[in-house]
Amino acid sequence: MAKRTVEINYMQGNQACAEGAVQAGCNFFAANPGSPYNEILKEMAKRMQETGGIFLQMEDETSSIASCIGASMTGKKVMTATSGNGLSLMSDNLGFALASQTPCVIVDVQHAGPSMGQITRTAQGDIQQARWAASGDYELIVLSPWSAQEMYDLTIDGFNLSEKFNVPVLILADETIGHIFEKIKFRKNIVLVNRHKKHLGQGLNLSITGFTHDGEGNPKPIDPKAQADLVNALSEKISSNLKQIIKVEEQNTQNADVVLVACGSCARSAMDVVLKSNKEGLKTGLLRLVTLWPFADEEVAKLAGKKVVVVELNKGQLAREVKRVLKNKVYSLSKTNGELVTPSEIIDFITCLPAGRKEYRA
Amino acid sequence: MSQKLYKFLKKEKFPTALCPGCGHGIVMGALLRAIDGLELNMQETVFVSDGGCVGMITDYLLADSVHAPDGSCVALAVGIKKASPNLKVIVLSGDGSMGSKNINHLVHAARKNIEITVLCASNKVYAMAGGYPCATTPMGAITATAPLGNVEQTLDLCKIAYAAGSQFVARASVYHAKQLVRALRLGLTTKGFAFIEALSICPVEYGKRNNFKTPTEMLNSLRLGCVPSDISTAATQKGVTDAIAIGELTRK
Repeated sequence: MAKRTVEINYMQGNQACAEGAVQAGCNFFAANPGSPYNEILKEMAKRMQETGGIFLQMEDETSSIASCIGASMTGKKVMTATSGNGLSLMSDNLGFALASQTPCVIVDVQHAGPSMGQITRTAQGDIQQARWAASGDYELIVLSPWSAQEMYDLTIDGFNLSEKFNVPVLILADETIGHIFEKIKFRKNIVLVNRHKKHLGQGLNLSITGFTHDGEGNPKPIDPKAQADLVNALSEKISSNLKQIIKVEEQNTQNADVVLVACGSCARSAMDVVLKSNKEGLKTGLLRLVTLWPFADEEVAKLAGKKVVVVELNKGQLAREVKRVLKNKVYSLSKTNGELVTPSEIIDFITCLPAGRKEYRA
Repeated sequence: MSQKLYKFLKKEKFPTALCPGCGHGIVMGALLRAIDGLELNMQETVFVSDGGCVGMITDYLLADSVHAPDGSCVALAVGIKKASPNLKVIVLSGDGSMGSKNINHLVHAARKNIEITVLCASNKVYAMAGGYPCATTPMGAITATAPLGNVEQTLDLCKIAYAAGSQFVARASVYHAKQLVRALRLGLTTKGFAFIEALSICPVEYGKRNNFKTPTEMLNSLRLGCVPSDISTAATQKGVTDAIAIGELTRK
């Protein structure tokens, strides 16, 4: 297996994601090309050839994820990449992966939407879609990287979580993070979770189905108990392991008067505000959500009594969740013009509280 | 079903959920006879199906099976085959999904020449959904949402597969069951993408609306309507244009 020997690399977020996948043991990648995630395909085509994995360019997003699920069912570690409306196309089979409990990793590099939107501009408009893409009741894991380094790290973590809980994991990056060039430090000793689920081709006469099924995979089209059991199992395997899954990063949240809540590229601007404004006497803190879903209810609830400002590149999708958890007033700094939110905009917003600047109110 | 095929079946699940008179039982029998004749190892065979009546067949087979959502079975089979080339992958689908949701994936799997065998059982309607017209419904046929007769043209799935570069394309009917077994045997031994259309019957959702009083009448219509022929030249032969040509379209 061709391994990268240099410890520190200068890479783009998308490339780092591909490298993370390879180091996590990914040996099957299928996707349909598009912006702003193209570089993942380019890198994976090269790296899969080097490592003896399979690279498939499929005809659309439905077939990309379907072939990934098929490959995963034979024991491969699989990944696919998409953006915007591609995720909508994938949602049908995302539901199948959830129902059949097939591990897979899906990278969504968000661009401004809806529909085709502005494919080269940044946004975080898929936060709620990532959670509720498929029909029915389920829990899944969505991770949000804020740097090229985290594109690498979270892809490895994503593969491990996916294998551990037999659940699809979404890496929800935004265009800024996908295209940012940064220094990446590779992990030295990567602990990998390998497949513990039975797979096809082992002579076990497995029956895998998207219909409601019992433990052996027998379809149960009308059995109420089987339906309730399956839905409960799909939710509980995540909701009873929140401590292992949920990851947040806090900066000065204890002493802050104003706490910024953000993820992805917004968190970079927010972090800049926190580091600079504290010198100027404005007490700010940052709660960065690394795991978007399942939502970090417990960690957000600790912000009770503080002024909370949610910074995001959409119409308050994250703020909606924060408001659900917190009883006090939550301010939403929402920017939806396809550009990154700047630190000065955040400071402007904070200084104008409680009303907030009109143009950024969701 | 013949006793020598019992080894391929989950007998405890019988009788099947298929309606009385359904042609898919013959399709299933033909497939198992072809597998038996070739002595395929069922432990290294994966059956992929999707929604619809044909999809139920996989529940009764003593082998690995995947029941994918509608319109994903071909793409899923491509993933299985590419990931594990040692497995024999057989796709079982109806003409409802194969002629609509799956057709994009069918064309591209054939173009990429992925070594999978696609068996499409054509009963001319979305039968499980309740007798709605699909891409292969004949013009004039009465269906649930075409009470005055279907006005849309009929899609020839075999020609689509042929045009996309499928290595083996054949059509047989459940009346011509021995030809179907032969076609399946050839399809399963094809080194590359193989497409077989099995003309089936649906007495419940299609027959009852179109003046077929019994399943036998439907089988008889297959006997009279099918013309054993080389499909590639069938259209130019006199009198074959209205009939359904059965036989091999291509073998590379």
